[in-house]
Amino acid sequence: MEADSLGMNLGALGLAIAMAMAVTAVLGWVFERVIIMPVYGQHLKQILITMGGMIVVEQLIHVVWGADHKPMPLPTALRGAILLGDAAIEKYRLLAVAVGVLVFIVLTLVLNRTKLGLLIRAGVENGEMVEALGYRIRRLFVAVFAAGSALAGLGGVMWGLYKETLTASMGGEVMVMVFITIIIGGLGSVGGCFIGALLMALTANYAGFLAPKLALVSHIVLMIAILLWRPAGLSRK
Amino acid sequence: MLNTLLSGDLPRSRALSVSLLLVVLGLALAPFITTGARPLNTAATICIYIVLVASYDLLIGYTGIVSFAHTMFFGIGAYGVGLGFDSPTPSWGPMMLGLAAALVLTLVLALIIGLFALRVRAIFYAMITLAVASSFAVLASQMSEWTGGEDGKTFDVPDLLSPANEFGEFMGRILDGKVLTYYIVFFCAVLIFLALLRIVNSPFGRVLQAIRENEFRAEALGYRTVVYRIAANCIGAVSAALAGALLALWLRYVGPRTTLGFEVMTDILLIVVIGGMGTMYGSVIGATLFILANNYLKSLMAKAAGAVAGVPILEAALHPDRWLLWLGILFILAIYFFPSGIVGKFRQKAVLPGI
Repeated sequence: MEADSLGMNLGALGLAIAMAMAVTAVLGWVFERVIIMPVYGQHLKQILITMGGMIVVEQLIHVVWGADHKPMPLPTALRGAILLGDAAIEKYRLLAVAVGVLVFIVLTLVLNRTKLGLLIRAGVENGEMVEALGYRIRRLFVAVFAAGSALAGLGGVMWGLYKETLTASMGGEVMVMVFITIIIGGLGSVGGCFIGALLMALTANYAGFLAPKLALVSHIVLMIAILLWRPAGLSRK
Repeated sequence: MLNTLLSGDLPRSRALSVSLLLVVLGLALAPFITTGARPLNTAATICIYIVLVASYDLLIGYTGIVSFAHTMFFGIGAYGVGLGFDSPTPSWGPMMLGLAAALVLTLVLALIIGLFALRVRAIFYAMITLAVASSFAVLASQMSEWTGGEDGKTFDVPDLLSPANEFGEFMGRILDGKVLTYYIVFFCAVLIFLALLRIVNSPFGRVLQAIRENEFRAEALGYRTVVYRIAANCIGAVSAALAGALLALWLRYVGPRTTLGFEVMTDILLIVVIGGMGTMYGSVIGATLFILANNYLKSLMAKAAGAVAGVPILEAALHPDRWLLWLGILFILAIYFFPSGIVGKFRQKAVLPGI
């Protein structure tokens, strides 16, 4: 895949993202139906079963594609950096920021401004009541799970290109950071996630610059500090 | 006598009693009914994992706390002993000091995590412990001048325990320091296991079970559930650290892969679910089966993979490195169909005909 024009490259990337999102959405749907549905409402089992599911899927990746790292070079037009004054900004990071902002806006709008978003939020708050009002909440939640999986797929494409290598365990590696971000931001808030992610990245960056050893535990320190202040995360009072 | 020893919590099933007896006898006589280093290593690993899993069962099975930080405490114990012995002339003093420091650190960390995180919901707690444990693992591998980094540290033990120190011969097995170490591990494991059994069958343990069943109700009855949960967390953590200390003593090696790695955590989860949550005996049966499978199933899988050498996907799936795949599938099936584990199945069978 060696084309030089930006348009061609972006087109190919868009196609890859669309494919990845479609595949992960279907996988998420299947995963929800087959693995998680029988244990809905039982927290302990849910945690354990998703853990088991993750192990199995990771091992299946090894089975199908082998256990080696796979290099994944960036498309040619996205390599290199743009000079803005004295600051060199990698082109790919600009793209990643654009995609992130787009996802953020779309998610915020869907969750806060549409009937679908209203139903999702109401369903989390009190599922029985929403069902009593005549909505099929089970179907809605499968769709939410699939949509979440699709977004995770998008994140996977972006992360893989950023790292430029693929491993089966890359999901598990970012998992911890994902958890911390959500805990900092507070469950059920896209804005909280946004702030959480910003805080995480900035703390890690500056802690790494000022005291490299400290950067390793900066996430935890940040999380504990925020939980002390607001036990349910930033977005919840 | 037996009733007192087992704190009144008898196996309550003939099949379970027989299997437990087999395991205990097998472990107690392991140096004499087997030959060579590998079976003894397997037996010692089983002893250590029984303690580790039993201490985790106290959390997940009896109190209903899902924690992913258990390997962290396991690792702290192991590193305590490892760093204590780490000198050209190893002696017991520094080792005891290292172990004591490790236990104090464990207690403090468990207390802090408990104070901060046990107030929040179950899923939050699981996430927080996962985050803390993985950071700790990174920290341990980064502070390499102290901990030996990714490679870990091999160290010597005092002459008393070294394989070169031979006492004599008994039933074809040369009694050396290694056999002595094995018995230290074995008896410590028995002692800790019985102590844990005592704890879960005490009034304190009953409150923990009440919290698992219905925390709100336990609180309404006047128990300060947070205090109980934190106490359970601390007891589990200290037992795990002791198990780690035994592992270090046995392996004469500490490293992130054998103690802090996420694989160890998944092993613990698999064992506790397959053995049976909320039954201390589940850890004995589960750990024995799992470690035996871990050590011998791989060679079996290698043979199976050789038999289907032509078939593309199947061959890769049966490769010995993929054994976690099959365990993962087993794990999911176990949660669906045997939520009470092997011990639960045994007891169910024992109870049903009596009704």
